[in-house]
Amino acid sequence: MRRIFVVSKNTFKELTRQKIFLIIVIFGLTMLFITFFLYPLSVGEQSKILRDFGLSAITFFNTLLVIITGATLLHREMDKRTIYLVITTPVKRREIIIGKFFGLFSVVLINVFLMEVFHQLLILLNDRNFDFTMFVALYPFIYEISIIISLLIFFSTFTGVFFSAFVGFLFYVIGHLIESLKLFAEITKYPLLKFISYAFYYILPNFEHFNIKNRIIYEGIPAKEYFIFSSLYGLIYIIFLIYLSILIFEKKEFK
Amino acid sequence: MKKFVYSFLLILLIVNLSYRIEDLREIKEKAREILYLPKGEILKYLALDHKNTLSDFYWLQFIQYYGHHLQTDRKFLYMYQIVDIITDLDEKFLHAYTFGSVNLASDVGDRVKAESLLVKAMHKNPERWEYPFWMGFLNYVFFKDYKKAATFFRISTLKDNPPDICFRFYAFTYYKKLKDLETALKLWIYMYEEAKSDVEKRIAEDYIKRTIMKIHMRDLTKILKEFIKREGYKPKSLRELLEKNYLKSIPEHPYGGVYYIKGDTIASLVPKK
Repeated sequence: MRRIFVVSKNTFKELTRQKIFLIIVIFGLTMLFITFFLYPLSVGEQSKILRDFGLSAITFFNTLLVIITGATLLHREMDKRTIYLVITTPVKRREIIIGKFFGLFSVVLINVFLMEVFHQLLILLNDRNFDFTMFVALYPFIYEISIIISLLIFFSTFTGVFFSAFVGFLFYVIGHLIESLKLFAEITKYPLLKFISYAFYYILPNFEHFNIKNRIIYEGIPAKEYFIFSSLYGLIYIIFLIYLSILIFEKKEFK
Repeated sequence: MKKFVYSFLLILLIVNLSYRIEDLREIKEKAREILYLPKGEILKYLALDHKNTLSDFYWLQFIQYYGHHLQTDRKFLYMYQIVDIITDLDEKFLHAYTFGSVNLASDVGDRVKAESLLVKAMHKNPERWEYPFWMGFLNYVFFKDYKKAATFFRISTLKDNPPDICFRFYAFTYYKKLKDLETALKLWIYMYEEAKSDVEKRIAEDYIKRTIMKIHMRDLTKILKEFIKREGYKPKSLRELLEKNYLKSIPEHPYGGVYYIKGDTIASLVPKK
């Protein structure tokens, strides 16, 4: 446990020192700020636009941050050859994987929180009160982003940086378009295609399960059952991917 | 000093070029409007989990488009397509449906498109009272289809948590008072109070003034006919109606114009802006 914490802490420090991290954070905050100046053009829809753009900026830029930095998490250790030092210490390989995951996860968590605080300040300036339902809207996103981190770590164990980043992005896109696969499965006449479509639909990560931005803005907070099931779904997916990553990483030979 | 002069000259050059490019782009304005209108159904897939934001982006574009054409040629060729995209991306965007359909009815005069936008809204949001109410409103004030208006006002009362206004207008239909100008005035005053923006307030205010003018002309015509019937001749001006106590005062023209006698009815002269 202590060793995992040390790996996480080092990953955290390393990531926050990267220029790309700062650029994306600044860009995300700028986007939020620009949203505030769109008011005169929105004809009575200031509040809605401020919430929509704010949530989008936070989710989009953090996803971008994870895809760019997550794909290099393990590769940087290998390129700099620090992995040879690490595996000779008492630190187990599984602890490296788990530590790396929590390192990036904590960066994203803090980042999302700070961006949302800034978002809340803009909402306060506009509406004269806070809207804490925005934090609730971002809660499922934490699971989504954690699954993306796990996917990136998983692919990093056996492929290159660019391929990991590409596949990570691909999964992000597929995860949000996956509902169409179910639609296809429902209308296709071929039993084999139907079976394959349904199989992929239920096996691949469905990121729409974590997307409640629209629902929060129009209908308020969903029932607690939704949070329980979506949290469980996210957690199990993360555990499964991290487990697979550990299996591969423990068998990996470093030449 | 030299560096400062060079920097200043470069900035001047940038500003000048920007100004020229702006001029060149104006020529292609119409083409650009077409280019940026992909199908909402396709955009839905491209937007991934940012459908609402993309919808908002198109909303901002729509407001600029509307404002630009309102001040220039008053031709809104792509109004329906833009609002259709906005509501494809965000099916619950109430303001886009209502603002779009009212403008399609009042500025474009396209009943089919204005109604189809509200039909789409009702189909996507069957629980909302607002859409049948607005359908009733459009049919009442723009298309003068009182029967259809009555039907939709009634439908709006059957939805989730309808406000008093739905029942009030349903009651008007029940008592066969739908052709009343006073009813139209009440509707427009309600729309004015509920307006979310200055643009909508201006539209509602204009229709309030128009309706008040029609009420004045209707009432004055009634009094004029009474005068002719009793006195046996046509008065030279409205002042004569005042002098003979047929009228307590000449109503103030809402547009700052004047009412005058034209044949055996009352006409209105509105000053040019």
